[in-house]
Amino acid sequence: MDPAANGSMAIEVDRLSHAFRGRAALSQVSFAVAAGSLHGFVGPNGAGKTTTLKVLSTLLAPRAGTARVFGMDVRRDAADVRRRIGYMPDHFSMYRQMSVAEYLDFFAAAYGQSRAQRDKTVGDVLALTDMTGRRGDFIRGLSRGMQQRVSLARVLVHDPDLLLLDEPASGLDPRARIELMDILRELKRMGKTVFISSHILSELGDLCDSCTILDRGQVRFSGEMKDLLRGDRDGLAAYALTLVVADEAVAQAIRAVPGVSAVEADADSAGRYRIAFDRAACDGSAILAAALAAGGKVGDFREDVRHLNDAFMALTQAGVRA
Amino acid sequence: MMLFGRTLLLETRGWRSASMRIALGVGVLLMLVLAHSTMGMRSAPGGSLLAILAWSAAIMLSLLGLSYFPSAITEEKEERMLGLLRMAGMAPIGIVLAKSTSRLWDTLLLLGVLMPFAMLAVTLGGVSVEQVLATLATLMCYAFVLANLGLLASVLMPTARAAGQVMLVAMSAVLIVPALIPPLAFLDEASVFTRIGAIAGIGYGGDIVSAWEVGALAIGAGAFVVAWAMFDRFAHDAQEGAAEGGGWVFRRRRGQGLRSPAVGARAIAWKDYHFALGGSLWAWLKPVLMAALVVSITVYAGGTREHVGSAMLALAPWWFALEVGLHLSRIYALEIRAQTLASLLTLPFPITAITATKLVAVARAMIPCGIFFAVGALLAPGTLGDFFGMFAQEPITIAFMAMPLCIMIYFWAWCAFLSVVMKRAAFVTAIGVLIGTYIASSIVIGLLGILMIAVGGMGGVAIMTILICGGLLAVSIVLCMQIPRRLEARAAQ
Repeated sequence: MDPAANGSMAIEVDRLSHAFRGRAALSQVSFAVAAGSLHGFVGPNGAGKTTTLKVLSTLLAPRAGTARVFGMDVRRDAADVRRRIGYMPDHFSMYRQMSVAEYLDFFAAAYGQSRAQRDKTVGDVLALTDMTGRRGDFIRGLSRGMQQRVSLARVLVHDPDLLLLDEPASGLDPRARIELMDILRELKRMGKTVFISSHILSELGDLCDSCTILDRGQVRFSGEMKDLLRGDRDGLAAYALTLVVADEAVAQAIRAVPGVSAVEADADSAGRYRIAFDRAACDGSAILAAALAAGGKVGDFREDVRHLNDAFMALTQAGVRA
Repeated sequence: MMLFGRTLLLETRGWRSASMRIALGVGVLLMLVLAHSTMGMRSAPGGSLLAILAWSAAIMLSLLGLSYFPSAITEEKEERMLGLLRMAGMAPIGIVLAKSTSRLWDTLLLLGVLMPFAMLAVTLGGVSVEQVLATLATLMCYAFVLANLGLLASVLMPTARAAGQVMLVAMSAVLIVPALIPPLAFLDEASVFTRIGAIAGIGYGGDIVSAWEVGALAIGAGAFVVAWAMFDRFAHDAQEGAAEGGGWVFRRRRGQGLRSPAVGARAIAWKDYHFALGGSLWAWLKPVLMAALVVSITVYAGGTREHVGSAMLALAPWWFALEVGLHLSRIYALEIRAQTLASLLTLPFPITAITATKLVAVARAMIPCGIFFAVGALLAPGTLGDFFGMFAQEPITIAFMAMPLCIMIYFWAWCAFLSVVMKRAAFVTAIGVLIGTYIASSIVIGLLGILMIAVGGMGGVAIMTILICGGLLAVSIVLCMQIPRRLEARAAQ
């Protein structure tokens, strides 16, 4: 994603570097996030995700490089940046003696909303996070999942354009996690940019439009999710064809299609073939047409996408950061 | 024994213990130099040195009794490690012994620093070897009883703060109440300060180990046994967030809401007033407590209107100084403990604005104290008149009044600074720093006495006062300037 090519970037990070006590946490990190997108930020422990989020949320001044939020420098225009972002840290950051409504009302007031505005805002964010029935409860008495919802509601009270969420699904049970992902989708539909750091790759793969993979302080990938998950190998597109009955004649017919470089039967699954071809010379519809013309009973035909786990493992290094 | 060994190693080898021993050694050395330089002016310089050493050590032990000892078991509870220790098969006696004995040993090492210097007091004259040994025995027994009472409090209470409060009540009963309420004066005999006063006095002819030391050892041993016996029943990991504090927030029922906060940065003042500084209920309760204290002081002194008013005027400034210090030691410490600093600092205000609104909350919390002072002034207008009349008669006294003000600012600056660098006990440590500064400045004043003589009369005193006030204010400014930087670093962690 080239920031210069798109004028509506929510985040632009350029050669960002930071170190803690001489140990590099970020090294020349550059990436961009389009406004209105849901961007996944993944990496192993110690990769520098939280450090990047702290820089973007104006809490940490980087040693070198720049970070911009909606074109504003996070150091120079910190106050303006803070009005446009909602930052949710990776730990529970709450005043536990307050009730849910008091907590949200306090933050809405701190962001300058009048009493009348606040009533509506608090009602809206509680409805969005499905916490309306708990507005009078004390935060200390809420479950972890509910506290996480209140945290998310807090982030939303001033209607920020960009949400910076650090591991929001950490420690949540499967139901709470799925519900959280639904809320994030809803926020994207509302036009918010969501920048989410998470370890739960399976859900990010479905959720995010784009993603940045960070490892040992360096960007390994940054771009559209579909580009990351696409199973292309050595510049060739990869598709998977599943025939109801395995038929070598169909495989031969596909091999004859111009641009197809390989058709391999999957040893683990009878009737399944992996097809590699040059996108410039042909496309998926030509291959499907060839298979049907050869009398193949096609059960399934799709681009052979990788799982995010596989992409993550391929791009990041094993072992604990030295 | 494994836990004991590990804890002992950590406690005694840690930088904090080592720096405290070094600081104590330097302080004692300075006291010795002062005592030696003023030998000719005193009838018993050795006795004076021993008394100063013993008092300083007793105050230091008392402060440790409020902060260090009561966190023996509670720190494991707050970090939710106690369950893991039990699961690892550690017996209660092992945990109790390891956590209390290592702290006691560390403290005894501190007292050990005093030993050679205290012996030197004998060579200065006016004090016997028996008096020095009796003083050390008293201090060691005092450390023993405090360590074990602290251990008991830390077994029984869920958090270090609650255990510290129990210790405060227990120690106040012995150290303060007898001075305020004459019928309870007999408790004064149990005070370590009474015992030290008796030992360091001229012509002490008692034993090295008296009934006081035996009693302290017996109470300490009893507290240890009770702590051990109660361990299974009370020693459980604290609930999540228990260590975050907010103990002055009175429990409310569901739906018992507060008035909405004001708009903008002032909302932070609303939050702090209600959720960190006690809110309206504490504002009503505070004058009642202050009034009870005044009644207890004045009822035996006749209890006239003038007496009551004077007592109120005397109490209010002390209360004010201590309460403001307490609040300053909490306003950011609670944010750090609750991990809410990042949320607070991402609000669209600079740290200076946030701090200013927090100070507004502190000012609001101090209104009852101000009213209390005003009522005192109404009841005893003569006392206040005499006070201000003194300035008219002797304008130089205005300069001397600057000293307590500077000390107060210095104390507050330490409270605020320590609260952002220490995990707990910032207030108690600030008191310790204040006492340490007092001792150090006394030594400096003593050593620079020649300056007063050279300048002559009140002029020399005024120069000294200005120098000390300037020093205190300079340190306060440096500390305050450090706070935003430390907070930013905390939020970025």
